[in-house]
Formats: sequence, C-alpha cells, structure tokens
Amino acid sequence: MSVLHAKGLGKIYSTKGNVSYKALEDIELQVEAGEFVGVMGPSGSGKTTLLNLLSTIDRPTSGEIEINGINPYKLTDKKLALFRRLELGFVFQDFNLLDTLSIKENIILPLVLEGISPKAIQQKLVPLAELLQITAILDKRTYEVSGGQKQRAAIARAIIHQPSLLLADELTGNLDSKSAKDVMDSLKDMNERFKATVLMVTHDPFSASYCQRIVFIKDGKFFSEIRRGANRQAFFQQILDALSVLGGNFDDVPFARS
Amino acid sequence: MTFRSLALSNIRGNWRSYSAFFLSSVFSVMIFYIYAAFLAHPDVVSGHIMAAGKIEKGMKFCEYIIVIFSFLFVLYSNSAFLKTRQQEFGLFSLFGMTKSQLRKLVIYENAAIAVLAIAVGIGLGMLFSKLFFMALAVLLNMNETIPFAAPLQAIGLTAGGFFALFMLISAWTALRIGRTVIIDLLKAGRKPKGRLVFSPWLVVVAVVCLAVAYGLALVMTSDTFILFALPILITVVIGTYFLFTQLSIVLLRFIQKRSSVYYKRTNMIIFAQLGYKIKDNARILFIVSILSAVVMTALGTVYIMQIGSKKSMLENSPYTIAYMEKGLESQEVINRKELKRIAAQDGFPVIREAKAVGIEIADFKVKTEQEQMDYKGTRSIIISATDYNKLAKALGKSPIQPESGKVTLVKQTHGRPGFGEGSVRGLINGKEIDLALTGTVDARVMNWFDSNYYTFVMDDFAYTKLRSSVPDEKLSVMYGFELSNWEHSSGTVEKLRDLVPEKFMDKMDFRRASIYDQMREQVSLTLFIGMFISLLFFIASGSMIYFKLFTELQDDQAQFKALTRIGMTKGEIRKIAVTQIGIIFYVPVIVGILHALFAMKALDNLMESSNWIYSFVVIGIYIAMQTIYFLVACSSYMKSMLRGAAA
Repeated sequence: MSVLHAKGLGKIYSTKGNVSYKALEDIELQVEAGEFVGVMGPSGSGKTTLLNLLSTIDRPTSGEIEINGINPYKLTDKKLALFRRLELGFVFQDFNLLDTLSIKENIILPLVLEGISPKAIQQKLVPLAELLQITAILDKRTYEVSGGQKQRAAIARAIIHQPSLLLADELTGNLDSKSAKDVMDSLKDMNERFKATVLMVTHDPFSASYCQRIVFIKDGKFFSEIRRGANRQAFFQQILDALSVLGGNFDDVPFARS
Repeated sequence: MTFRSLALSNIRGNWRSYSAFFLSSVFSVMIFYIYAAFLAHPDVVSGHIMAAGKIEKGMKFCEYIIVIFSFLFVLYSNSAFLKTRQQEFGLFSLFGMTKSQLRKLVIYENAAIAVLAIAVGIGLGMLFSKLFFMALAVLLNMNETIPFAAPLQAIGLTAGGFFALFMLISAWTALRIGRTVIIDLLKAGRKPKGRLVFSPWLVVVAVVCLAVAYGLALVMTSDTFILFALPILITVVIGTYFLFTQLSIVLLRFIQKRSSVYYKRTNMIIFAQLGYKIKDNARILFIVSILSAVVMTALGTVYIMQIGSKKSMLENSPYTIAYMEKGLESQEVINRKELKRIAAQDGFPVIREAKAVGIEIADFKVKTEQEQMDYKGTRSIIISATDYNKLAKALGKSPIQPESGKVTLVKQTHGRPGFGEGSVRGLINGKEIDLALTGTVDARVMNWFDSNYYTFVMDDFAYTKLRSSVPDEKLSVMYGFELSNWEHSSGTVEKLRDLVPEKFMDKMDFRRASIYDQMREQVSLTLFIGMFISLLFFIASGSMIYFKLFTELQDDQAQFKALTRIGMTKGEIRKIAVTQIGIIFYVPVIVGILHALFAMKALDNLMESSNWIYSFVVIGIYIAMQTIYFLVACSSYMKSMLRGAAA
C-alpha cells in the first residue's frame, strides 16, 4: 500500500513583476508503507520545496498529493494542521525543540496536544526513549544535551504518535560524524522496528546510504533513482557515482553549529 | 551614508519597539508642558486669575512627579533597548566600529528621539492647552475664560528640561555599552533560557513581607498611622518584588507537578513559557504592579474622601437650612412662609421640615462619679422625648425612652463614651434646677447652633411640667428645613441668609450648600489634575509591557513557526498567545488591585467609615482601561505573529 503518492507535482514562484521561477516540475513520487526513501540533489534543485509541499506547509501550483489516500490540500486550515499533527512526523536540521520545555515535554508534545491521559503518554514514552537511548536525559533541558541527543529527541517526538509518514530535512546537517551515525542508526531502528515510513531529504552521501531507495532530482525535475542491495558500503559507492553523474554544487550544507 | 543617517535609519528600523516608548514620552512631555503653560500663564503670574492659587501648589507637585517618573521611565526603557540590540552592536563592533563611535551612535539616536518627542509633545500640549484651560475655568467657576497662551518660559522649561533628562540618561547608558567582548554581544540573542530556580529563603521573605504588610494595613488606626505607614510601604515593595521573582516560580512548579492539569493540551506550553516570561519580565511586572496600586489607591483615596466628607457634612448639618427662634410663635429670624415660598420659587422646595421646642438651661454643671464639669457661660437646651424621637426618626436614628424625671444627654461623641450616670445642675429661667442624668447618647439630630451642642432629652411628662414654669416667649424653638436637590441650592440659600438680621448669625446654620460647593470644587480640581498623572502612569506601565512583548516577538515567532510545522492549529497558537499576554497584562493589575484594596481598607479604618462600593468603581474603571489596552496589544501582537509564522 502506498503511503505517499505525488502526481505531477509542480511549483512556480512568481513575483509581482511577472518574473516566475520554476522550482519544481512534474515530480512523480510514490512511497510504500515501511519504506525508507531518500531525496538527493544539488543546491537549488528543489529538494526543500519538495519537502515543504509534502509536509503540507506550502501549496503546489500544479499536481496532487495523496497521503494515506487523503489529499491534504482539500482540507481547511484547521483540519490541515490537525492532519499534520496526526499523520505526519517531522525532524528538522535545527531540531526545533522548544527550549522552555524539558526533553521529555518536547517529546510528548504531540500526545499532550491530542489530550491523551498522562498515564498513556508515559506508557508510550518509556519504550521509545529506551530504544533511542535518551532515557537518562529526559528531564534535562535542551541546552544541557548534545546535538545528537537533541536530534534523537526530535526523532522521538516525530514518531511518538505513530504518524503515517516521517519527514526528515537534512537531519544530520548540524551534527558531527559520530552523532550523525548514531542518529541515522536510530532512524533505521525506527524504520525497521516500528515499520515507520521515512522520507528524508539530504546532502550527505553517508546518511543517504541508510536509505533503501534514493530519488535524485535536478533543476526541479526527476533525474534518476537507485535502489540499495544488501551491502551498505556498496550502496554508498553507488550514491557517490550517481552524484558525480548528477554534478552541481553540494557544498551548501551549513557548518555544524554547536 | 553619514553617521547621522545611520542613527536615523536605526530608529526607523526599530520603530516598532520604539513606538510605545515614544508615545509615553510624548505624553509626559505634553502633560508637563500643559501644567507648565498654566503655571507660567501671564494671567496667572500677574495674579489676574485669583482662583489659580488653589491649584498652583498641586500642579507644581505634579510637575515634580512627572519629572521623577519620566527619569525612571526613560532610564528603564533605554537600558531595555540596549539589551535587545546587543547583537546589532556586536555586529557593528565586528565591522570595526570603535567604542566611542558606538556611543556616539547611541547618543545620536537618543537625541533624535528626544527632539522628536519633545517637539511632538509640546505641539500637542499647545493644541490641548486651550481645552485644558477651558476645563479649568469651568471647574474654578470662573466667569471669564483663560485666554490661550504659549509662554516662552514654559516651552523653554519643558524643552530644556526634557532634553537634558534624555541626554543625561543616554550619556549614562552609552557609557555602559562597549565594555563587553564582541562574542558575548553576538551571542546575547541566542543565550539559552536557563532552568528556573528560586531560593526558599526569598520565598519565605516574600510571603512574610506581604503578610506583615497586609496585617499591619488591616490593624492600622489613625493613632498608629505614623508608626505603620513606612514599614507597610517597605514590606509591600519587597514582598511584591519577590512575589514576581520567586513566588511565581514556586506556583508554576506546583502546577507542573500536577500532571492532570499540566499535561492537558496547550497547558504545557502555556505554563512552561509563562515561567520564563514572568521571570524575564519580573522587574517590569513589579514596577507595573506598584504603579497600578499607586494609581488606584490615589484615585480611590480622593473618591472616598469626597464621599466621606459629604457623609460627615450630612451628619453635622442634617438640614440645609436650620435656625433657632426665641419664643414659641416668634418669626424674628426669618418668616417661615416667606422661606418656603422663596425656596419653592427657585426650584428647591422644602421636602422635609422639623421643629423642636427646647427649654434653655444656662451655666450648667454635670457631675458624675468619675468627673465633674462646669460649663459656666454655656447654654444648652432640654427637649421632650417626643420631639427628639420625631427628629431622630426623620434621620433614621433610633429613638430613646428616658426614665421618668431624668434626662439623657444627646451629643456627638464619635464613638467615645460620654458622661455616665450623674446629675445636671443649671439655671432655667433664672431659677436653679437639679436634674438626674442617665447617660449619653452619641447622635446629632439637628444642626449645630450656639446653644444646642449639649441637648438634654426629658420624658414628656416631666418636660411638660418643666415647660409650664417657663413663659412661651422664653422658649427656644429649633427649625430645620431640608430642600430638594440641595446640592445645587447654594444660591437660594444665600438669598435666604441675607433676609436674616445680622444679630441672629450664631442661631442659624445655612452653610451646608456652600460648603458642599467648595468641597466639590476642590475634589474635582484634585481629580482633574491627578487624572493626568494617573493616565501617564497607566500609559507608561502599559507601554513597558507592550515593549517587552515586541522585543520577544522574534523568538516567539520562531517558536510558533516550529509549532505550526508539527501541526499546531492557528486556534491553538492564538489560545496560547492570548493566555500568556493576558496573564502578563492582568497579573500586575490583580496584584495592584490587591494592594489597593488593602490600602483602601486601611483608609476606611482611618476614616472610620466603609466605602467599598466606591473602591470597586475605581477598580472597575481601571480594569476596563487595562482591558482596552490588552485587546489592542493582543490583536497587534497576533497580527505580527501570524505574519511572521506564515513566512
């Protein structure tokens, strides 16, 4: 069953002076349940635009999206917000954790907003935190933990309400290589154990090598697609090859901020 | 781009945070100017406006308050601005701006704001000064109007004074910048919010201080006022400060522990952020609370004083017109028919009249077990129980039943015990007489003339017997007339007074209406002048909150943007923001109200009266005004918030 189906997705940014810019053009994308899909492309290829469209915070100028059989753009603003809250999970490059809340409070936020009882929340939180190895830092505040821990907390928040689709945007962009590996391992765990469907936008070939399938886009158009075999090392090499074919500028990943 | 144009464009760029500060400054300049213009008005200076003397002192006092307040307000606002702009200054330093250049920049900016605020303030002041003069002329009962004038002295004083004030403060704040390392400046904006901590000792201090202050206020009487006033003030200020910095965190902790409340939908975000909002804004909330308390207490005091003195006036002069005739049928003081005719003709008909026949007793002595008083040369009267009870009933007071053959003294003792059992000795119609006294009743049923300060009440039977020994023309008859709508009757009463021959002046009391006129004038003048100060406080305190709200806007925008992405609806964001702004706006008001209520309760004790309803009127008006401010702030905040979150 496909969780996400984008048909002929396009986005044109137009300014008042009749100057329009095609950010995306005719993108077809289908993600099956339990899949771990990566989207790669050089700077300005439209990755972020695509993710914004898929995460329903921006509207396409053409084409359609179906998430779990629902077209989110036909919903009212309020229903759309609730749709995001229930069906989607987000992990961002800059974590987007609220620094007024503790790590635990950040994680359970989606459940609290739904009005679930504190007891049920606790039941969901404990095994998840265990699995992500963040049990010890649950009562800490965001500035007291490392970037990798923050990102794992963000993953916990994105998945605690069991969304149909988890969207990740450059989630290792702000991390050092060790933390990045931990985070990607965690994400893979989530994918395998909880059958979470993951769609990840990334620059980093190493992070991308965790995916089962990678879609390359260039200049807003679909470029190619590769699938992973049994071996991750081999897949990593495959990705590097594909990128060299793709060309373009890949150094716009910002420096790690600590 | 010159250095000056950089300063100007900085102001333009920061206009949103400057606007509330600017408006408050303009307002204080305007009020200062209007008062100064009156004080320096040629007609006032030359003594042409006689009534001006009544308010000159009050106005000068207000000028001092405005200056002191403006000083604190500008000082606070300036340092708050600099704090919010640290990142910007760090960037300037990074680009190689020297410290002295940075200081110059700050001083230029402040000078521009000062000149603009002073110009606009004086301009508006000139515009409204005529209106102010007109209102004053009405309140002072002046027949001619006060002409418009813009005395150079007032303009000079206002412009010079405020410019000096602004520059002094900006020089001082400018000196404080530039002592920090650039990296700290750059990081200032991104400093993480630390854990909320409180000190148990300071919490205890807060609770004890507030308890002591409120306790002292409740038990304070007019005797202990001087002793208690200062300790109350100090403990309230300390207690309020720690209430916001410490006690608030304890309360939030308490809520956070109750998971059924805390983990309920948006509550978690509201309360978690609230703790930081209160902590960050503790000083403002504290200042605003104290200001609110001062404003409400001051307004309430004036209001209660007015009500109180009207009440005591009615107590002292139960009738608008009252006098005493010598002789049962005598109309020597005034012709009663004529009096009623004139009163009715002027539109103030008599609605109630009273009459009591008294027997004069002179050179009397009172002897009780405890004391012996000799009132040589003083006259007093004896009235019958029936007459007394009639008078008492008309005023809603309780009747008395004196024991047969004995007299009861009726006198205002203000709660203190009067004479106990004993005897009264005196001359009635030249003959010595000895009467038994049963005690004293604290009351006044008739206006005060020369001979009824002490009034004895005798039972009807003994009274009739005593009266038969006195010829009718030697009896003292008291008359009281209450006019309808007496509050405005001073003109008519004056006319009637002129009909009374000069020699009866000490046998009449026609003063109530004119005293009331004077009092009303005094109160309305005080309220009118004080109102502007209150308004200034109110606007300034609101602007501090408003300013803080917008300095945090960027952080809040980022936070709400993140929340929108994970599926928070607009309604929920609105609910969170409105609740938080509401708490920030109303908590100081509630604390201020609480302080004011205790202050007014203490005032009630001092004045030995109870005027809660009037206190609530003042508080109600204040809450209504704050609500308007809140709604304006809320809608403008939400607008910029949603605009920012959507981008």
